[in-house]
Amino acid sequence: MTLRRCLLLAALLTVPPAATARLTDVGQEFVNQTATFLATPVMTPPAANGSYLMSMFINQPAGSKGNVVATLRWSDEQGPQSRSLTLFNNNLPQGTAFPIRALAGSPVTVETSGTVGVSYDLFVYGVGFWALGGTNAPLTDYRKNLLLWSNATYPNRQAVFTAANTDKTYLLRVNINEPANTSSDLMCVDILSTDEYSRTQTHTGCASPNGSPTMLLFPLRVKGGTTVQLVTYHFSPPKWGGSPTYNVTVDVIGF
Amino acid sequence: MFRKSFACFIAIVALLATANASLTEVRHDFLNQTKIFSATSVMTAPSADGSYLITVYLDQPAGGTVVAFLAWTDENGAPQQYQAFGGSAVFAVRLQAGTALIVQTAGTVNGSYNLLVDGVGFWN
Repeated sequence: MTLRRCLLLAALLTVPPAATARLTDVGQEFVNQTATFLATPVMTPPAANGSYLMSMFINQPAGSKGNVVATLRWSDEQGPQSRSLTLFNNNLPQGTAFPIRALAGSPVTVETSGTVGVSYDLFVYGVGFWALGGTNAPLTDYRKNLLLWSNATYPNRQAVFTAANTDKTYLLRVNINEPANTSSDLMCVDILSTDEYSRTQTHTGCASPNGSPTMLLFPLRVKGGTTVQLVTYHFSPPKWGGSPTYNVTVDVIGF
Repeated sequence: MFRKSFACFIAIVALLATANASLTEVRHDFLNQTKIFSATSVMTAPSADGSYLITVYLDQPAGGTVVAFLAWTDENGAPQQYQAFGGSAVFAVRLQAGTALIVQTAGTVNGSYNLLVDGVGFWN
């Protein structure tokens, strides 16, 4: 086999199915902010009309009593659009993800308003579904699947992924479902993570009703070097033991 | 000759063993639509059960009542659907091998509308 044939074969074998390689990475971080700020671009305006999946995550250190609203603004074919996310004074970070459609040359901006406690962090990240809009580092991804499981993992936890050495933002998609059954045994999953202030955060989903998938979608800010884990359990005690068949799939995009 | 082939084989196995999982793109734009349309696939059916994050952005002028229906078959063989009544949405799809996500629209068109169906596929 010639080197050329070998390289060709290697290239063919390593191309993922339906690969298009047009996903791009956009975003901006606003760390340790001590005041609200005016509209600030979070990406270079696209050269052509483009579609993006954007996420916003906002957090504050323990003891900071802020009540901050972050607003993302963009313009689509129908005119100006916006989406807001509020950080409440309850010691819980907030996150959301949503699609936007940005017109060619139009700015996509974020601004904050409200009351700042000591400080707050805002992370705006997104995936662009086209070739020309991306500017940043390549996206990374992880996944963890529990397929056709018939036991709760509780009290044991399963690693989903270990974060990079520095604090980073991730977008998680979690799906839990039980194939249609006549049991009333409802299975749940907790996603456990450590945020940039070393606090444990938990996101929960349950396969309710059985036969229908339950989806969670949320951005996370994960402390560098920590491991995001999952645990599955019975909604009704005891949490452990045999269960109806269920599936949990977790997919992660790292920005 | 054997040594070169064996070396190539080892190199390819090593490459596959260390290759990362990959993200792929789902993208089907229905731009400047002046009529509703019937069921249309937005992707090539995967050869294995797959996980997707799908976004829908329905962009129409005031007075339009277009609704988008997305349908697929999940890993359990159960039919699933999502209805987008305007604005935007994001949802997860577990897709059974050999099946595809399809979309169709209904309602009244006022002038024209854009329907953008985009997403990320997660592959091992």
